[in-house]
Amino acid sequence: MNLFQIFVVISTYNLLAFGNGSAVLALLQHRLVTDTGILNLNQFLYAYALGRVTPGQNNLWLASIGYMLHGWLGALVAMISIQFPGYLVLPVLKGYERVRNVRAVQGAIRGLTAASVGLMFAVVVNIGREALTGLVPWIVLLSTLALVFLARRGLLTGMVGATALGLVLKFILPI
Amino acid sequence: MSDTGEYRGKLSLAQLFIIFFKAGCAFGGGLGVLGLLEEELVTLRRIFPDKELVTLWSIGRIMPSGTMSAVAVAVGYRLCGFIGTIVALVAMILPGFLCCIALTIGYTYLAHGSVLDYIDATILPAALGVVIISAWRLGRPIMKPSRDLLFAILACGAAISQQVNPALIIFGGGVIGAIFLGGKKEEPRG
Repeated sequence: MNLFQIFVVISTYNLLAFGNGSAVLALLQHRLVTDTGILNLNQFLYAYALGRVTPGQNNLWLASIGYMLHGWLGALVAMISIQFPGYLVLPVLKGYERVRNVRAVQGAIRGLTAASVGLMFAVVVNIGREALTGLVPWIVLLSTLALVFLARRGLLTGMVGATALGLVLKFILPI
Repeated sequence: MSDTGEYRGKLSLAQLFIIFFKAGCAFGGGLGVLGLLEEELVTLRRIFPDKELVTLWSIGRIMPSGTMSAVAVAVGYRLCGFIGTIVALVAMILPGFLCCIALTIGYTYLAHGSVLDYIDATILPAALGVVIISAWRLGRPIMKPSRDLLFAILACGAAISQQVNPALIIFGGGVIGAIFLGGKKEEPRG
């Protein structure tokens, strides 16, 4: 697969899936593993797993796919493919500025905001189901909350501190 | 939400880069990144009202792209113009991009080891903490008895059931909001 094909495949799937990570995963797996066999399933799932254990947006795992296909250039092209549709927000915001005083639009934004807040808490529940599988993960979670809310540390400090504590506990506790 | 001119000049490109780079270091996916952006732009620097950031995030969710890509473009544009969009995007993806490549290079060593298990047991719960804090801080304006809160609870239930596409939930929220929330702002009870 050449660089142009990487660009076309990833950006098309990303646009088709409206940025939905699971849908992109399914489409790409079909194309790269099942159909063409360019990557084996282990490589593909490893790349996807990286999205969970690396910082930033979840879709950065596509950089890993790009790297596996075409080295550094492939990774860069994959990143450009998933970032450029973000620019579509600019004309949408320009249009929004023109009509933002219309009552129905204000109501729509209130509805969008309320639905978004609901989704945020749904993400909490879904990640919680996966992440809180033992004593150490619970201690890490509560330490993060304590560092930020009680010790008034920043989010990054809270996260790094709690993760370090978790690593220490993981090494010394047989759980 | 206010016009872009109100925000221009409040941050230099270097400051914008640093803020988005820090945000890009957050674990927990887009919400983790959003949490750090909220901390910098709303809580510490008071550049954005909290509702504005969550509105941009809502609009980002219905864009055919990664949500945070749209948010970075929107915030970068508001603060520093078109060049700000590039600076914000590059800074936000750089930490994760470099980590992904480094771990891909180490595929042979890491794929069959226990390193990823350790990361799962430690970073993921910490990231969950960041996501909880982020959801709480950004959702605070509607955390009072109101129709907005009812909408949020219904959206949460629909998303947890995983039967409904999140983009559809947001879109539906917008349509229903236009019909039922378009009047005078509801006074919170209690």
